[in-house]
Amino acid sequence: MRLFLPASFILSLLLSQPGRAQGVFTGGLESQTAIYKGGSYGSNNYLKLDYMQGSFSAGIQAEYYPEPMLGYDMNLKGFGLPGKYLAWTRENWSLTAGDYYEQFGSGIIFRSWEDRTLGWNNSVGGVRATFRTSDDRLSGKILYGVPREFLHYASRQIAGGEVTGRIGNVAVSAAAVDQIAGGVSDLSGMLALSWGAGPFTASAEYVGKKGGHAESAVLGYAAKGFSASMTVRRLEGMLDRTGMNYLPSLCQQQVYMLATLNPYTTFADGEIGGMGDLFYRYKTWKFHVGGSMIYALPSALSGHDTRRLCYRDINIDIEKKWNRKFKTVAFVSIQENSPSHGQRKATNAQNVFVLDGLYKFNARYSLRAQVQYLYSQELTKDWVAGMLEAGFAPHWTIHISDMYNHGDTREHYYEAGVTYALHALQVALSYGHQRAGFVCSGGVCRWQPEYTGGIVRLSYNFRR
Amino acid sequence: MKRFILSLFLLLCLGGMLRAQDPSAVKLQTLDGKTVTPASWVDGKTPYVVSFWFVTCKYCLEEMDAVSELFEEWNETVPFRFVAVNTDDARSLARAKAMAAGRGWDSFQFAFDTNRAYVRAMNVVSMPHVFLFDKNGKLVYTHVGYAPGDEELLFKELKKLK
Repeated sequence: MRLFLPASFILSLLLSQPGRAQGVFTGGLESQTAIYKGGSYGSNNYLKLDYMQGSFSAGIQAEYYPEPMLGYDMNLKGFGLPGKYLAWTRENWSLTAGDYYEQFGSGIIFRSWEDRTLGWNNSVGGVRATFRTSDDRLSGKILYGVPREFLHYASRQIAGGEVTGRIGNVAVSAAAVDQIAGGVSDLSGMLALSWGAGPFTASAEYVGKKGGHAESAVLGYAAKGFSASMTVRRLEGMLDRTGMNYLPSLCQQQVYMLATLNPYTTFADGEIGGMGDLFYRYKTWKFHVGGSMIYALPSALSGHDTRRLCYRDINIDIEKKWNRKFKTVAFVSIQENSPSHGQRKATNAQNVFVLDGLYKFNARYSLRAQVQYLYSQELTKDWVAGMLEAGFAPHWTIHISDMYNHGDTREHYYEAGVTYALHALQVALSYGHQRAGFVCSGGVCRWQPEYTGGIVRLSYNFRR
Repeated sequence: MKRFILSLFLLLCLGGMLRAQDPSAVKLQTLDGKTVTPASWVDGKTPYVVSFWFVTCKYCLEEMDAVSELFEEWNETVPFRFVAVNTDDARSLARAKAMAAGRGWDSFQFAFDTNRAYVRAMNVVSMPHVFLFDKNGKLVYTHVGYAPGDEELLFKELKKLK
């Protein structure tokens, strides 16, 4: 690892000599530092650099956490170079050595991915080869390596492969993954089928592993002005402590803060459920109806022989553009959540109502206002929230928001912030009092403790 | 910490030495499930915009709505293409495809980057993030974040490529 930085630097220099085709050098820098009330701090910093020339590419990712921010695992503390790779990519094949990300099927059997919002990164360090025929009728991947764990590698290996065949509108995939820990093998397999014709698409997937299995199916219809999708999934015995099975919650992902107050997390021991969306556009109106319903399976519940509700919601949003300057969104979400994943009968119900308006004074100045209300007779009962955001395009945005629990704790959770953007640079400064709760990204959540403090965020991207 | 500073040093050194083009060979999925690479967007005739988005990114949707409404008007001045690269995971893929059709983004091309390989290749840190490439695939403008009115700046940059 110590030789990797100077080696890649020298290699890059050699490849950039006159007479050779010029390559592409890209990089991304992200830095977040929080100063918490009481004097403590947290700082998460990421630097990623990649160089590509013809078939060759190489890159590194450096991460530095002098103190991880609140809610991130303390095992991340320190400096590391957890991402480094060399790759050769031709039209019909590729070879990667180093740390890479990969996914088989929808990711239920295996997904290595990164999400900095969650502090999640399970890249695999090892080798990977891919191939595909010129007509794309046959493609495949094979890999071997060691998953990342915080800034180091885990003490287990992973090996797997996937092959996909396509005939006309039909694609069939099969995959196998073996995780080896302490000399014990844990083999799983996947079979997937997808089909598309005109505006219709459909796919189905089965994953089986020792003591567990998962089935999922997706239906889609997409036409001009009207579209619909539906996903159903059944999980049984899919609890995975290694994090290589990607099992996000199958419920609607929300934008508004009160609608995300009590998110649902997947019950991998045993659940069945689905979610669906309908989109419709008529002149200057846009309509969306979405919903999800998830039940715990009896096999995952002790002492129950029927399915029990885990989560359900129905959401409606109506967007109207009144003229070139003024746009509104009205949103309603009716949610019911079982905090025990159906083990106990009690559920929490909450209804969320939002009005969101955006007024554009001219090409540069705009003002957004949101009013949100959460009605509930359970947990912390009623909440009200508001947000004002002024935009001064193309550089500045200023916002203030407050979320107030007037049903129980009578506590304010406020935030004020300013953001500056210039080309690929974005700097944001905010100060606020944040409530404890789950922070979710893509249906996967981490616990965030309550805090008061200021945060500086910086992101920069370049390409030369 | 020393390694972090060394990495920053390398960034600055290499950044000054190399020049740009777009040979990216990352494989993405189209609306009908076929494979496409970013290199195929270079047609030698018209510039193109690449915009990264996901279904719960409100600012991404607003930016795409704004460009969609002006797309025909802008195209009369500068013919260009708009490629919307969706970065949702496989779970939200069906919703993203439905949203692409249902929100009226009829003039856009769509690509789906379900495990964010193209996001990593482009080193996109936050979204929305737009990249404007000329007809030969050379990056000429980039902007991160969105405030209403930002699209005018994109149009201004497009007009320079007329």
